[in-house]
Amino acid sequence: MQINTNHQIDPISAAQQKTEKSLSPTQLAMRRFIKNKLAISGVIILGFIVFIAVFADVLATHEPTAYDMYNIESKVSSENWLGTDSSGRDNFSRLVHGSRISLTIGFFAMLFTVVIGVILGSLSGYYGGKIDSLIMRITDLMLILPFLLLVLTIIAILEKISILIFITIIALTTWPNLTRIIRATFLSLREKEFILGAKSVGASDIRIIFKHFLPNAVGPIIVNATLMMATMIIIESALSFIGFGIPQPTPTWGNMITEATNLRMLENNWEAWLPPGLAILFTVLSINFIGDGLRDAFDPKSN
Amino acid sequence: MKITKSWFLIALAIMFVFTLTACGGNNEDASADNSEEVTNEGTNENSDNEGENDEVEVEENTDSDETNENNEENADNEGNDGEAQAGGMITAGMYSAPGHQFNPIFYTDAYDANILDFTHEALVRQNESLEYVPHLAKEWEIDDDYTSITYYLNEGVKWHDGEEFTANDVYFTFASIADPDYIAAGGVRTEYVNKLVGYEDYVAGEADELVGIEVEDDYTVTFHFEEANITALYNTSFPIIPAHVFDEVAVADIPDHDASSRGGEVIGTGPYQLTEYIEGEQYVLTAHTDYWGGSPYLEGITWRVIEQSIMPGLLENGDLDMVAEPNGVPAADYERVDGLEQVNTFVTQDFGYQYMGIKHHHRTTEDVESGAINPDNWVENPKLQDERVRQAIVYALNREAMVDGLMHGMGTVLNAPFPEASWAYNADVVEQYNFDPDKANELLDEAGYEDVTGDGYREDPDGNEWTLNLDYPTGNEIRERTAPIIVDELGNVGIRVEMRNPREARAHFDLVEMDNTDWDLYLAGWSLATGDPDPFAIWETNQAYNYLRWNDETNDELIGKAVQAPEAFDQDYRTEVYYEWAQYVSEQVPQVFLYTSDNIYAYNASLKNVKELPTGIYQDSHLWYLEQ
Repeated sequence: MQINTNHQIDPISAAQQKTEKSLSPTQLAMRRFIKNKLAISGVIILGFIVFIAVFADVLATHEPTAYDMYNIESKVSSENWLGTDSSGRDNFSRLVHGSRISLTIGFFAMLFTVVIGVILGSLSGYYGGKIDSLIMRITDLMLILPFLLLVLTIIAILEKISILIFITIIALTTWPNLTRIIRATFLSLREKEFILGAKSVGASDIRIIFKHFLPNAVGPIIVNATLMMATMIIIESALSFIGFGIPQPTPTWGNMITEATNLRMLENNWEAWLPPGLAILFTVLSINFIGDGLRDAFDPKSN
Repeated sequence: MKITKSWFLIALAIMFVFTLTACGGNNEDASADNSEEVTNEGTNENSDNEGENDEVEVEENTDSDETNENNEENADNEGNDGEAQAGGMITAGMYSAPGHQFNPIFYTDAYDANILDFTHEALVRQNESLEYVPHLAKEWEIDDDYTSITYYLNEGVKWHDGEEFTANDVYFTFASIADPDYIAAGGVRTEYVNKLVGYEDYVAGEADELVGIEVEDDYTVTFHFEEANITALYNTSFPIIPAHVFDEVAVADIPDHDASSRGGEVIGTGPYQLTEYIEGEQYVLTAHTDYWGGSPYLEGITWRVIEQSIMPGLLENGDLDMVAEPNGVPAADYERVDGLEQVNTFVTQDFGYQYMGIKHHHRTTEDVESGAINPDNWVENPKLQDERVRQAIVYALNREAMVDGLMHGMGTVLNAPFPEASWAYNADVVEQYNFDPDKANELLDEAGYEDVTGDGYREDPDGNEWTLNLDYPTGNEIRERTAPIIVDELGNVGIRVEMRNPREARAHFDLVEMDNTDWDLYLAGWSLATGDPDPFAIWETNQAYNYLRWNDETNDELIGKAVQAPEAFDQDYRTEVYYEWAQYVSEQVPQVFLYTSDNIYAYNASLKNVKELPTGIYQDSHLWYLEQ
């Protein structure tokens, strides 16, 4: 949008770009993104993890929930590449399958949150007034409540946690931040001339929101959504770690690190907790790199 | 800017991993804490690690009058190859700080017991076959109709402050427990006094004296019971507190009194006195040189509060001489500790056990709210009424593997609620239920539970969906691990089990108790006293602790028969009845007995004269000495 403005102000550069086929803002952003080495390495690592998640069934050597009570806490061997946990389940298979759960939860919890955030943020930012204050007060209320306490309470009340319920809980408790960001973006766009123009030619609210607001807010949304996915993965791991996440025996990285609560395991069985720990670290790090890269790419002021 | 940010992120991520693992270290220990509490009436759903304390005296001991053994029985001299040498201190370790209630009549914490077991003594105590033998009393007489017991006390027993121990102290101790203010002040030991003559009047404040206890002279005291009491010895086996210290103190003020909490002011008759402590860190017991059994050889015992995880290392380098109650050495560390040359280990079966409860009935919401236990109002749980189904569940579970694998072999598979040390135990009279999925399938087929829909799970005889719910608590790691395994093993024989999220132990046991729920199966444990095998408190239909809500006439009849006077004063008679009862229970499978874990004690090999008893290793600690 600002780039467009530039074109109008500076006919020479516009003419130049016309000769070499002018690039859309998205294309420009992509260019900047590809130049960002850290972001690209993030994409590669994440791609690798996604690959593992997709082909988990092929890669795993054992059934991830199959236990063997006579083979617990075993060390690295040709049979169990990363040993077994305290119930005799194969760590390698659990690690591989864990990527699936972690990414699924990360992605869908993020998606759900974005949907809620975009809807509420748009309404609030576009209409303002009473709707705005109502939504913002609810947001404030949610932000006041300590996140972890809220989630723990909800989970403690529910009898059974499935992945779907878990995603819903997380999404329903993390939407306020994104809502505020989108509202702020809308507020800054609201006073722009092209919105005024759209309104003056009688475009409907829905059309204005979808055609004029959202495309211009897509940068902040994508950046925050990406970073949020990393947060979601950490939340899942942390909750599973303290026993309030996806229940055993479902393999998740957080469930696997729980093994390290025992100092004996921590000292002797590094293979039980180090790989899932590293997996979380690299996944979250790569997503954050991508998020950072996207932020720089979408922000024309950088560089 | 970008680079700085990335480094920051990396650092943050690394910190995250380490924080997770660091928190983890404490977790095991923390879970051990919440459970060592000794609850009312002694039965305690154990919410913690394997190896429950035996602090909880729910059941009574009888083995009445034929136990007038020699009072001066010495330690069984195990490993006593040299002359006893005086001198030296030892360091003992426990995993959590005591609750600082160093008064036997008010403490509820198994960590406090580590101090009190050395500082206070009772009239009688239990020997290696769990029979009562004289201690502060030199002998006793039980009258012919079993309504009274007369103790003749040892003379010359001195309190830590030099005063003489007399029958007056005995009266004072029991009268304090019977005091109208006792329960309000936090006391939970009324089972020791509520059978005494005049208890009702005294506790109601209507009598100035507890007439059930008669002090005949300084060294003779008689307890009178309302009815024939086959557990008279157990009921009078409570540690004695000094009357001359607490005489002027109202019972309500005793828990907060200096003599109940401060080092040097806690007075007992035991071989050691608590002289000083640093709260939450260490507790110093100093030898009581005037001890009636002879001055202790050791100068003292220092209790240190240590992290469970560093315990094996401390034992190894000699910084720690003893690890015992309440959790002892974790099973997983047993091999390492046992392999240490300078350390002796002693393994004894815990009296409590772990089980999978089966809800036979549920109470109505009104009954739960009013606290009524009325079998007439109970609502039957139709899913588990067929005993063949319950038997099939036991056959389907590989309990041997749980013990040998998950517990590193430090436990025993159980089929009836008596520990091996008990005289009521007899492995031959109960059904064995070895792991046998084929047999389980057979029994289920026979009972009409067949898979008609072809989804791999059985439906009930009417062809309706048949799903059992399983609830379990957090805290006890081994128990937590068994839950998904149980679900899977039952699934293998076609029983669909819905495993619900584990609850925090306290919440779980609240729900076990308030059973207006849809529960079918649940995991839990009992922590039991060392004493009498009488299963009444947990198994009789009308008891609150009958969490199974099992309503069975034969069961009640046998339990009643076992304690019926006058036959019950003959132990052989009771043994027979308990065999019969255990057999009946093992056949009916009102609950699935899982396993009982071992208590593992470890102590320095140069510490001699340690008496290894099923009840622990603290007895006759004045005879302990360090070989130099």
